[in-house]
Amino acid sequence: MRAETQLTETASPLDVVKPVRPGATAAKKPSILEWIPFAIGVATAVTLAFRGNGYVVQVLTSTAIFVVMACGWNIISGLVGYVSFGQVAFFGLGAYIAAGLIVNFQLPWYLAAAGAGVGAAVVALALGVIMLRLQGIFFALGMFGLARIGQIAATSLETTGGAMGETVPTTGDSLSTALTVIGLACAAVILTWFILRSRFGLQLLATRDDQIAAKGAGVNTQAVKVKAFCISACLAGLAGALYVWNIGYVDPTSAFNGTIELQTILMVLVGGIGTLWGPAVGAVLIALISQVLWARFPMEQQIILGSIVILVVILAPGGLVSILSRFGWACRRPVWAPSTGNTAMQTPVACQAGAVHPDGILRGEGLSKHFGGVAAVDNVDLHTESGKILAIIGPNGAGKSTLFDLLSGFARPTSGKVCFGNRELTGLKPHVVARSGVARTFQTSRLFPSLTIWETVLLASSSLHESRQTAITETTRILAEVGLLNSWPDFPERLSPGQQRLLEIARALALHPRVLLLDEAMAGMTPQEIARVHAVLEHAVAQGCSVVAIEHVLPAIAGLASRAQVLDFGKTIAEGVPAEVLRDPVVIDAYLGVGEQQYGNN
Amino acid sequence: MLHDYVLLTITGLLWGGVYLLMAEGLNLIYGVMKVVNLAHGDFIVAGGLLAVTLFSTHQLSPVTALPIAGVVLLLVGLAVQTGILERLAGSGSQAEIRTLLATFGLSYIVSNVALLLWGGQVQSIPFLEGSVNIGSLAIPENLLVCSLLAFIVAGAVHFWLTQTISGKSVRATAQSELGAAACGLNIKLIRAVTFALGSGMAGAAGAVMIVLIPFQANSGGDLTVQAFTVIALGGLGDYVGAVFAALLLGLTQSFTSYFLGSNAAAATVYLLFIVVLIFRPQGLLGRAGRV
Amino acid sequence: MAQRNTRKTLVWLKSAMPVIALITLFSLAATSLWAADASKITVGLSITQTGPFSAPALFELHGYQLAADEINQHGGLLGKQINLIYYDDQANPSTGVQLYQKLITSDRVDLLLGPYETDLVAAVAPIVTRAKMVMPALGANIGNYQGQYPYLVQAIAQTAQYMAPVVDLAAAKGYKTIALLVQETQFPKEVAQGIRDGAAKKGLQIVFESSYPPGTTDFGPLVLKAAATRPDVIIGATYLVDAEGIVRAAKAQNVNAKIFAFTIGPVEPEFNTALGPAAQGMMGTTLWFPTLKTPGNAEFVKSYQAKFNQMPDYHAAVAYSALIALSKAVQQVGSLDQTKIRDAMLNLSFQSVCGPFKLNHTGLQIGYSSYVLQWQNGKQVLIWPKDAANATPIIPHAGWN
Repeated sequence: MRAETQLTETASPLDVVKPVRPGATAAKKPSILEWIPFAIGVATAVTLAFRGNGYVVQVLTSTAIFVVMACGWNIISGLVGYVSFGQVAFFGLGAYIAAGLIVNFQLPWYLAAAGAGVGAAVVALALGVIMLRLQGIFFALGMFGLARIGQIAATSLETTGGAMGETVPTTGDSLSTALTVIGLACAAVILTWFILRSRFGLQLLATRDDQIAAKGAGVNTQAVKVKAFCISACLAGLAGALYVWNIGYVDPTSAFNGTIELQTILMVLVGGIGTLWGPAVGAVLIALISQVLWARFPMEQQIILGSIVILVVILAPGGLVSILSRFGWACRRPVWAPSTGNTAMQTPVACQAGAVHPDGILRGEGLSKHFGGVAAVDNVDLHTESGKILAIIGPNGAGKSTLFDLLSGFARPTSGKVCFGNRELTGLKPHVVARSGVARTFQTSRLFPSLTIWETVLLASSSLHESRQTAITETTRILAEVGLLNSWPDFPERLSPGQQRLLEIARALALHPRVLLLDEAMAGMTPQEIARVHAVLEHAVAQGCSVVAIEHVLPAIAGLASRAQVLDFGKTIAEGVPAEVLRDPVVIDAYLGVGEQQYGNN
Repeated sequence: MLHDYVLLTITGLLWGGVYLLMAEGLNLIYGVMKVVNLAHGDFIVAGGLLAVTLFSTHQLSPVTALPIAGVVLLLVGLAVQTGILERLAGSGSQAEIRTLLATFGLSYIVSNVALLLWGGQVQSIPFLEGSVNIGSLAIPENLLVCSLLAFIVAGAVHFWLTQTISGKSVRATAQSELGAAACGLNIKLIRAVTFALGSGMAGAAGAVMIVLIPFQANSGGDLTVQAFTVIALGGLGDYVGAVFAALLLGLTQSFTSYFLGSNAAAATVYLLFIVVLIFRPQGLLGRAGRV
Repeated sequence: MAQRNTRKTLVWLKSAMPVIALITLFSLAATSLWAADASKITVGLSITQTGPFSAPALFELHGYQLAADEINQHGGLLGKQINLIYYDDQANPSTGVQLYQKLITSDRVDLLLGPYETDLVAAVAPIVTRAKMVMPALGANIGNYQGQYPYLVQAIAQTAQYMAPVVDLAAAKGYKTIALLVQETQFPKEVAQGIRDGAAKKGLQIVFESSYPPGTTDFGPLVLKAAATRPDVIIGATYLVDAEGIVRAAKAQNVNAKIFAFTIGPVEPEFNTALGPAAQGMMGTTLWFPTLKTPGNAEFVKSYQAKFNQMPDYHAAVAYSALIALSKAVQQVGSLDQTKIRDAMLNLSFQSVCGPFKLNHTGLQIGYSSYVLQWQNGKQVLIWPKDAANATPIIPHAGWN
């Protein structure tokens, strides 16, 4: 039985790459086996290209083009989770760029296709910065709007033949066309594979699962999204260019055809959105079905395709690949793996070196945050001391987590500033703050359902370290330190709540922070787990790290903290040594109300 | 010149009424269920084409056809909601995207069915083709009548939403599903009623619009975006905002069409749509979420 | 335990259903990639069955079908029955290209017929030429028949001729000014050029000219602007839907002119159904009329009516004549050699129901000509040129009330 975890809040928008059943770990089978069906498919395609009649070759070509389209859509909609209904905008753009280059400049087809891909990516760069600020259905519909604008623009432009389009001289025979396109389809699939094996892929999946947590782990989510958007647009543009090269005609209605969008989406849905093999499998299947439909049921095509979309969404939203993955096939393989060797001997380096270092001081001066008329944080001063632990306590709604948001860059202060050493952090993006040495955990666990335990920490580590080897070594050490190394290939949902908190702390430590902001990190932990956290914190503190901990479980922190600061209604109401602070009548009043002064604490 | 401007303003405002009727159903559905029905435009087209059939075979005027088309599409909406969308009820953005994809597929089904039933030709109803002359201004009669009808239907629904218990239940559910359930309201029933009603309004809008512009089976997609632009501009789920937004859209279309041609006018709708989504998602009045 | 197993099976089945469905369809797909038939002569084409151009295109299809039936009744072509294969190109040039590729390489048709209208003809011309198959085309624009596509022959009158009799009629009545509304697609643009040339020759002046994109539905602003120049004649180089839209807008704004004429629009019965009384007095161009005294015309009209339960229009007539012309050429050659058939067609000269069918050496149609029709009291009549007319023209337009 799966435990009811706090992870429901961080469920990915598509609930897609379902973790394997409890009891199993991620894919056991070697990856080469997965490539065999792929190789067979490619070999079949090539054979058909040589042996088949003109029509078969035509079907092959158009299927391969759809594979490219599907892989492109999968990257932005599946891997990043930004479902787009306007991929055909880039398809049409690529088609027109290629047509324009061939007709007006007589460029050979491969240069025209390259131009189309590059052009689409450039346009995507400009558009992505704007469009990716939208979320969910707004992004989907906004992209749809863009596709329609593209179609209207193409209809109005006389140079490209206006509404009825123009002929584009084609070169090459159908065999070479088919082979080229098949080759590009393979390249698209291999590209997806590369992405999923790289840290970029990790960043994509993390962004999809939980953007806030990703930022906290040092991932520049905006850059990641835009990159993915550009890659996806480039693939769509290439597909469009190939389409034009194949058909020899370009017109707005075909180039920006809504049915292409429908089929692409359907292909990836059926195959398995967000997976490696999904687009290719779905593309081949649906392309063949479409050919049947075109021949036998031309008038009912869209009814059938639309019904398949609905059925898939209701019955099997993860597509074929998700069904296969329940049996252990075609699961996503984890990125990289822990280094072997004796890690226990080496001293874990959790914090950046330097004992008492003035650079390591985090200071908040006069911080305020107003939401409308409400002051969540009201003129709070705060400072950390190297190698010491500061406890922040206060009743619910006192503004403690908001304060953390201000310190870590997740919220902009209405007034006041945040300084770190001699740098000012006010207004910097959260991922920049994270990489500068201020790492945090979150009040409710924000873990990534799609990433394994290993990858969760690796994500943070690899955003800090350029070198792959360093990242691997560091991640191994940190996991060993928190005692999670043995479950490295598992998914976080298998962990107990306390272990999940430990994982979050490990993720924060991977950023080599000088200041660690822990937000109720010990909530839900067993005494053993609390002891382990204490050990970790003591190590960190010994390296010169300073810790700011928000806590409700007062005994847990009272022993460790050297200072405590109490907030109520956004203001600091007391500050000093924990024992004294807890006996302060003002503090007791804030927690328990008037008339309970005789209640002593600790 | 002035004469032209006045005429453009009047026709623009009248068209606003029509856009309002188009968009209200969508607003109702979005307000309660946070679902954008991508097949909305196709429902409108179906209602319109149905009115054409009623006109050509039974000589029913569009005014009579309006409630019939409304009822037919209401039943269709009910079927869709209980058969498809209710099964997708999940939580948060997970359900949103899935529902969006489902209605995306539905849109193709509906337009294809319309194609099979009514063929691919563009159709319309020759109704009230004269003009009402006010001074030197010739205002198309059918636009006047249709706009009036649109405002009446819109007003009736607004009355229902604000003055009756059932209407208030719907608004309550839109504002807080949990709270409404805690009050003992049958959320499933309300969702079904809302979607059915929204679809019915789309059908009625179609019967009105087909008198003004010709439709064919594939015209639905653009209509959906126009409707969505209106509700986005007015603030998603904001009923009063939608009125202002519809009038604004009508004026914009009227003037852009005259000065820049109809291609530019079509593009303007989409541009407006994107601009609103990005820069002012809470709508012009900034009161998003209040039905 | 058993319950758990049943549940597991059910879950498995539920998820497997889409897979099974897909695999079934997949196998259907595999079987459809093979096809065959040899005892018939297949004639292939794509036609616009859906979309805004479908009304006239369907008439063309019916014309082809009637001709095929008649040929089959008289013993078929080269002793074999004709089988007509057609697909819907949705007025989409790229779809048309793919369909013709399918017809040529997969269906392996013996003969080809052209799709509806100029843009589609232009799109498919290259592959037809590459495949070296002769195709009688119903595309009116002359640009395609300049020799670059030697296998294309024009089976319809040239575009420039379409509006010539209207300009003629206007000149005969002494009118001086024309407002021209042109759809931004190939055919109307070339019609407009023909009107400009004709007007210059006949001494009329074009005082207003504006184009609009296809798919425009609201003509109010455009008509308003045209009306401001007070033209004698308003001509639309249009298809059906825009013609209707312009008439509606003119009526709604009470815009008056002495002649309203449209290229394609008034010739369709749908024009009258959609506009009702507003169609009164509207003029249009046609390449054929039921009352023309061409050989076989009366029989053509009768058999068409019997088979399709509607009156034919000129699209049906030219299509019918096109397939007849093709079959004549094939019979003459005695085989399916495409080059020989093409040569035979270039030398063919016969009286079809549309008039004299004759091609020049690059395949341009030089025999057919155009006529003016008008809607009078819910009926179409031919009003110009005088010798072919069967009614007197209602000129000037009587106003909108």
